[in-house]
Amino acid sequence: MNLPSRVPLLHRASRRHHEADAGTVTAFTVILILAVLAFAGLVLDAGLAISTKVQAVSDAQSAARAGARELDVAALRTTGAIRLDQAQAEATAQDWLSRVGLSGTVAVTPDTVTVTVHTTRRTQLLQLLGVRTIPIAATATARAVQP
Amino acid sequence: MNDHHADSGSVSAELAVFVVPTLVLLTVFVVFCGRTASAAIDVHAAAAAGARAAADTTTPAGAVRAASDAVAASVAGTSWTCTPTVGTGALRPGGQVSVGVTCRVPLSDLGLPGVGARTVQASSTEPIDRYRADP
Repeated sequence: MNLPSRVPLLHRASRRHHEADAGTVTAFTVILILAVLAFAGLVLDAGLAISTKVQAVSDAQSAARAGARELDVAALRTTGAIRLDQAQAEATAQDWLSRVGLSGTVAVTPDTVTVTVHTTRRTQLLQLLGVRTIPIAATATARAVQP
Repeated sequence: MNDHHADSGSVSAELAVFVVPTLVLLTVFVVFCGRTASAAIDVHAAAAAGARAAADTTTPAGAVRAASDAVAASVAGTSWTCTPTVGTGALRPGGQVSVGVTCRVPLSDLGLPGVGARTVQASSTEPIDRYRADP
């Protein structure tokens, strides 16, 4: 801020202008850096949330497939129909979910198992902005068929 | 810039010495965040694909081969070094097979200080059909 003693009028005006917003520039800088940090947080935490979603979908699919293994063997032998032992299918799907450490709901029809998984992802950068967790849900359906 | 004389120096100094390098660093950090997240997504997907492929096999050797092929296909086109580990302890009809993938993801090309390569891990467990026709 070493100003020459003789400042032309035009520049005096611009000097006053610059002095006035010297603090504004710093605030601008701070806000800009915070904005970029928030942007980085969105990129990182949304990406990690997608990663959790990928895993949740894959776990829901596994659980649904595990449940769809529980055929009603008696019905298959007597009538040839592919039908699920519904209570066993639900229990197996729930058991699969709890073994991979997730919680969710299982809906069973005579030949399908639908698993919906609810989980959350803890944020890393977005928690600076007050967003601590991101809720994740994934649904998958498996159908028992005869190949 | 030149017509502002000495008093514009403070703003320029802040801009040149602090803001621009910080913004460049932060922008690279955003790219780093994106690459980290994308690596996590892809390694999870590779593990799931490997487990899916392994669940269709009948022998432990076949499971390892199928999982390795699926993982390799899943991360083809990247510069990552991925090592699949296949848990075939319960590889039987009605059992399960698990595939873990450990990838070394190089990030040194970003030029961030202190960032070389990251190791990203994921694992996936897949049920094996109870009733199936043995080939």
